[in-house]
Amino acid sequence: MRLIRGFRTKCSGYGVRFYSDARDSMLESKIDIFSHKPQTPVSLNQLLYFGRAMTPQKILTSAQFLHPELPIRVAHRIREIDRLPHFTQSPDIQLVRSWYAQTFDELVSAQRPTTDELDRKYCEILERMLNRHNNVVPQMAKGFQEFKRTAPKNFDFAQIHKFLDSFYSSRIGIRLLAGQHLALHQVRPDFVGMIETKCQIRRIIEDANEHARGICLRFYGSAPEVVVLGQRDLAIPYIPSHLYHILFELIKNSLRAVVETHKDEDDYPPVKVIISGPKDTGDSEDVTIKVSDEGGGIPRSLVHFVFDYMFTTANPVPIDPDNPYHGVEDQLAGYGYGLPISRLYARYFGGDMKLLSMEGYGTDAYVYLPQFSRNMGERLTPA
Amino acid sequence: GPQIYSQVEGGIIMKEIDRLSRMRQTPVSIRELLSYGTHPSHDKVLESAHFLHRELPIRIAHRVVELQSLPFGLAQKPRVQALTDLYKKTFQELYLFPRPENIDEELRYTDLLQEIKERHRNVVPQLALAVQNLQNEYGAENISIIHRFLDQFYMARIGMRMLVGQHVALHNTRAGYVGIIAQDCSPKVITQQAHRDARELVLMHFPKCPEVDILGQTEITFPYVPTHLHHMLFELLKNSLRAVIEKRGQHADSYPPIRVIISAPQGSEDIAIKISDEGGGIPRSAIPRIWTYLYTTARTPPSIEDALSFDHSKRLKKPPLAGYGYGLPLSRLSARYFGGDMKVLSLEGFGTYSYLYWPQISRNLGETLPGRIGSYIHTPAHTSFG
Repeated sequence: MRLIRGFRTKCSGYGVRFYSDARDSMLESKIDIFSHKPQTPVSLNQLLYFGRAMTPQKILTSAQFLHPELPIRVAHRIREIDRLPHFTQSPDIQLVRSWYAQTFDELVSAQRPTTDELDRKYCEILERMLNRHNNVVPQMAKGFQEFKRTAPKNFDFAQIHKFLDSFYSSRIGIRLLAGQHLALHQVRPDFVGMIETKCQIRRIIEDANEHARGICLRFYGSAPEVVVLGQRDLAIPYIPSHLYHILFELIKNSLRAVVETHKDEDDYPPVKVIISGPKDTGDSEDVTIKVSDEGGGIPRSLVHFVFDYMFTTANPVPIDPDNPYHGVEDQLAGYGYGLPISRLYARYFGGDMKLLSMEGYGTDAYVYLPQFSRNMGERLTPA
Repeated sequence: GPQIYSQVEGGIIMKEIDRLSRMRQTPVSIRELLSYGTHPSHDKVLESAHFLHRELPIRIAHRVVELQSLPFGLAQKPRVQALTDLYKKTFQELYLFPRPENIDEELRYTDLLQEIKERHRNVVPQLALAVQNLQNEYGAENISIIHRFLDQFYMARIGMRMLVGQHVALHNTRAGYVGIIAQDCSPKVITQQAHRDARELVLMHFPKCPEVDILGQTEITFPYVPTHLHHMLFELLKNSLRAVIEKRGQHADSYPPIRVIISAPQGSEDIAIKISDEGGGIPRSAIPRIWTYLYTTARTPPSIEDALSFDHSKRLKKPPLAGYGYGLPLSRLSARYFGGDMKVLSLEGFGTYSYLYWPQISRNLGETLPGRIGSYIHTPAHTSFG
């Protein structure tokens, strides 16, 4: 706690190395040690295999894997923040660092969970961590939004982009590992922890559409239809929340593009989602989902910007991290983080997301999810 | 090969090649080429010849140096040395030819250009064969740097042939054309022609052929080189047709049509065409391979020796449907040549989607010229000559 007490009042300007003297030197040297230890990637396959037929003993095994692994990963992230150019180190970013430092402190001080009682305590730490880090993305976004305004001329944003990709990707992993351990405590049919063993892609599309459509209706008063084609009944082992995140983002963008392009017409051309998976004859590398709209597309020269954290087509709105509904709910076009983070979700287990557009016609987004039978190891970036 | 020049002369030529290879190549834009007009005056034709007379030796010199600096001992292979000699000979002839100052001289210069163009016709398969042998020796992954060289080399070749073809065509003017650039090139018409040609080829191998639906802004026209456009569309359609037939079986009752969508709204950056098929697609991991030379989906790829002896003008033999893996990378180069691009994405198990882009004429469609090979830095240049 000592790390964040009084933080907001203390940090009131740029260019200052915050907490350089106030930082707990014991803690900092521990962070240093842990940031030099290698991270251990986990595959979806391993999580699924391990989580089948849970026993109290296996719960403890899971906790004991996380016990050294999570502080290592958190320490890597702290080092990543520290390696950012000093002039990007705003109070917002230092606030995020303080969250990570506190989490590291709690994780590293936790007793090795060798009994049910210790595991319960460990789970409480994990839950606190997940809550504490809920707003990392908007808080970071706020920091970099301000930095973007004040950035030195000719500043190369590529390094920030690389940092954010790596940082957010790692955040997905930490949250998955912690979430998976917590979820293993409750047995749900057709679930292994957070992984749904037969995740119906069409159901996720429908859920994402319901939500996106609601926003679109509130905003514009009407919304195009979404039709699902291809292997409509395909079900795969996957983490529904990840898939939802990806599909919500794509469908939301498509609905908005179609309404804005065809607002003076009676009918909207539907948004088409094609699901393609294993062929009748056998295996395929990927399950592919294509979301295509006739929403007017974007020029070729702008396509690469859609995955740019520093770019958004909507007017930039001041980000308020204290409002849990910032961006996404209030504004159909958020703060430009939707697509890059969706792509990280897709890439996390070796998949990908591609986007191509025909200016004047529409946009096609391709989501690739590797087949479960392939080993989908996490992509981990070292600090 | 025969000794082309004496040692002394050869030494001077090599020195000049080296000097010119350090000079900057001058990119030309479609707009500039169009400025020569449908009925070019003698002055205009002479002006064009003067530009080539200065520019071609520079470009050829760049190619000679590229060939001579090929890694993996490729530069020393007899086939590559033969190519280098061919380029040196061409350099010498172009370099020694006096600057044409009247119509007679200009005609003789144009004859020389035509002769050279013909002489260089088989460069692509010649070089391919050399690289294929190298690939067998070292393994494809270990010589991937060669692909960058091939991209540069072939791109430069497209450019030179474009300039020469353009100049030669100024002598036989056709209505609606400036050289080989059609002023109102219709993607719809070219798609139909490319489909007809691809269908003819498909029907030599299969009993039936899928149809093509052309949608979107089908009436749009723009200034472009129809042969370039035809080449790209033919390649993509041929692949799509074959994929659909192989996926559904050659005795299927009907085939889902290939869909071609054209989009080119007023004020847009590009003219865009999308080709979609339901031919089963290809795995994500196979996508990079379609852009590498010498990759083919054919079960028994035709040998390049056959290709060399095959005369496309006389259809004596049944031409292969899946070729040498050159079609797509070369098509993409010709799209990129004037600042466009080609992308292919696939839904494995479902179908493939290809996207073609060309900048609108209102933007400057300058040639993309590769730099000298040593640096391996590809810098598109968009300045103009005046």
